[in-house]
Amino acid sequence: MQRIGNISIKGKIILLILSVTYGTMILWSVFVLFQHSNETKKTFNQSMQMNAKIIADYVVGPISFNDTIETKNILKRINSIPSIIGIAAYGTNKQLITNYILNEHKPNITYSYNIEKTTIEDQANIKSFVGEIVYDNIHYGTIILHANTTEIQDQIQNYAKTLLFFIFLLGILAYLAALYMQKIISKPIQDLASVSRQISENNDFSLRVHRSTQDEITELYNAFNNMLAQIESRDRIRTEYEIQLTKAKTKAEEADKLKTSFLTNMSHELRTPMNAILGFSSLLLEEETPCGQYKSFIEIINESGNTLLNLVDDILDISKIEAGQIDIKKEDTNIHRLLEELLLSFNEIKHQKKAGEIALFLENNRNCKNLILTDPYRLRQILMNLLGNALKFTDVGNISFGIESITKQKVTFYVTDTGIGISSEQIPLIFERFRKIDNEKNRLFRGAGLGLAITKKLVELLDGEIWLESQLGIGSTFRFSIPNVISDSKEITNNLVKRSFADTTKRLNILIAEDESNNYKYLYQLLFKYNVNISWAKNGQEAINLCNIKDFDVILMDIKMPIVDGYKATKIIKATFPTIKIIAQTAYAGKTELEKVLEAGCDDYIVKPINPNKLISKLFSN
Amino acid sequence: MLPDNNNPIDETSLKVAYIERFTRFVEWPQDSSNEFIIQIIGDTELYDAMQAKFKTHSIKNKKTSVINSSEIDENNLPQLLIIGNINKIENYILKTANKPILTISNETSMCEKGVMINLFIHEKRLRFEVNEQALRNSKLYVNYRLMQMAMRIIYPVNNQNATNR
Repeated sequence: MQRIGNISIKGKIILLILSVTYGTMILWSVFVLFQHSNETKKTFNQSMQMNAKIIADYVVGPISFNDTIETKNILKRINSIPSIIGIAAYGTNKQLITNYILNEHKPNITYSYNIEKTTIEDQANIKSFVGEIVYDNIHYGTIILHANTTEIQDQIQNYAKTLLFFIFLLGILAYLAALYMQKIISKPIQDLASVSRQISENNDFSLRVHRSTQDEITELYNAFNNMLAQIESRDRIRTEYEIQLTKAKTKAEEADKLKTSFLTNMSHELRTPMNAILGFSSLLLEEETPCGQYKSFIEIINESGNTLLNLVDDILDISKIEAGQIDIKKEDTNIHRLLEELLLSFNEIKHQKKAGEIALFLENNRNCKNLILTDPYRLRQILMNLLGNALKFTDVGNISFGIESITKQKVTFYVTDTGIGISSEQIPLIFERFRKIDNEKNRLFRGAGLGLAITKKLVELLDGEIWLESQLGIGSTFRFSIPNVISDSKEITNNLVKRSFADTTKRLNILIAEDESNNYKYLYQLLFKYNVNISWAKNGQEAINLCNIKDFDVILMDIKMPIVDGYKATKIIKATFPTIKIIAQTAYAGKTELEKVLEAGCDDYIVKPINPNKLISKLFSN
Repeated sequence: MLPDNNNPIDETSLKVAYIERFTRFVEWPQDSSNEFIIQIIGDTELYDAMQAKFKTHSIKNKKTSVINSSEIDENNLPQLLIIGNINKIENYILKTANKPILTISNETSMCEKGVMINLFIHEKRLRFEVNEQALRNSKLYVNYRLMQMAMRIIYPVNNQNATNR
């Protein structure tokens, strides 16, 4: 069985066809030969028996008239009958009347005078037949006829030979048919094996096997092709994943490097202002420090604090952007007014930084359409970042900004400076987070390397794009465009650009709800010089209680407080005293949190650290 | 049993045996008679031998009687008529013509005269000749074996069948 198993498919098919064909043919031939042999023998026997009877009938006449000569003449007629080699006629007394034997068989046959003594059966190829001589129910004697069976044996042999010849011929035909059939079956399998070999050698899964007919092998081909397609597709996906993973790995490694660099940088950026704050505050505590230097020391401390605040804001912004927590609230925005406000703010900043050699220009065509639908808060942040960046990297020259073009599709803003500029190779890198262009000169500039990364993300959140043109040593121009979505209303006053008159002389009863005593002290110091009456509640519950006792115009409500928090306290107080103005003061700077504050019932909010000017403005405005 | 050459018997006995064999190969038309009549004319020796033979032997399973008479009884016609050495043979031929009576003689040229079977000696053997026309006219059925054994056939019905053995 193992040996058959090792034979090739071609061999197996040929073996199968030949064994079935030959087996059938041989069985059939044996059967036919047996049948034919029996039939031939039977026919021969019947024929010889008939001959004996006919001759017996012929000799009735001569034997009746005792005519031996005529009897013999009749017996001699066996000459013309094949196979008969001898014949004898015996009378009723069993005595031999006459006989006739063919010359060549005379040595083989001897007829005895008495029928009972005639025994020639010994000879294998001679057979005897008896015919009774009877006419009209009268018995005249017996005819004994001897026939040679060699001839019919030869006939059978010849038949067998012919049959063998035909078997041989059919065998050749069967072999040819088997060869042809095996090609039909084994060739496609060999083709399949060949393609499989090619695939395994060349690792080429794009190869396919083709077949035009429809049979089980075609099904096998289709299944094989499907498998190849699946492998190919899986390989492609895997390769894509590999590429993506490699990219991600490179990116992660780079990010890791950047973070390390960021941490080093951040440590430096944090420690530098911190150094000034702690250093100068220590100097202030020293008794020897002349009073005349106090102001300049405090200014340095204040500036350093602002630097730290900006840094914290930037880190928070980038974290939120990356966590997808930045919300964009589009509303009708007056872009001209926004730009004018920025000009005012930055002139002040410039003045504070004593950057007198820098001229700041706003190129604002007020004839242009002024209202677009966008997020004013984020747009302002973008422009502030770009202007801050320009101010930071420009020592002498000018900074100009404004609207470059307004088309039906978009509004393009620009900020140009005559600062240090960057090389064209570094342009694509400048918007990456934690990326600061490390060259000898840049080391002079502080910053965490987050400003432009935040700016780019914000522009993208506003469905816009940002790009940069710069020349090293000559200057840079940042441009960004946002969609020009037409606003329905013609004029707007939004929170950011709203200006209201603040009358700081009016008398106010102020309740400060604040659990941190330092914060309270700061607020008290800030406000006591105005015409105000200040009360302090250390938590929400106290604030509610105090409201029930005294009349207040304004409540500065901290949000995170023990017992009852700012939200709850605001709701309760507003329910009873809806006219009291409640300004939330919170360190939660997120837009969502601020909205929550307004939802709770606060009239306004101010973010910690509290800017004194802003606070006064909010307190005394109507 | 017929004698062979090794056991010679007399000619008359041989003739009786032949005549008996003739009756085996001849069929007579059906009749109601249960008697087979053999009439012998002009041959006493043969009559005696026939008498002796057919006392115990029957022909066609019928009682056989042998009569010696020169007159043919029209009312009781014999089946077999043996005509010996007589002159007026033509009369008997005329009387038996076209009748189912087998006529046998043992003289020269008797068949030519109208006898159906004529016995004679040829080369020391008893042989016979047959007048086929006369047999045909008599409405007797004669088996081919009898014709086969005849040495001569006189007036053959079909010329092609004329043989001379």
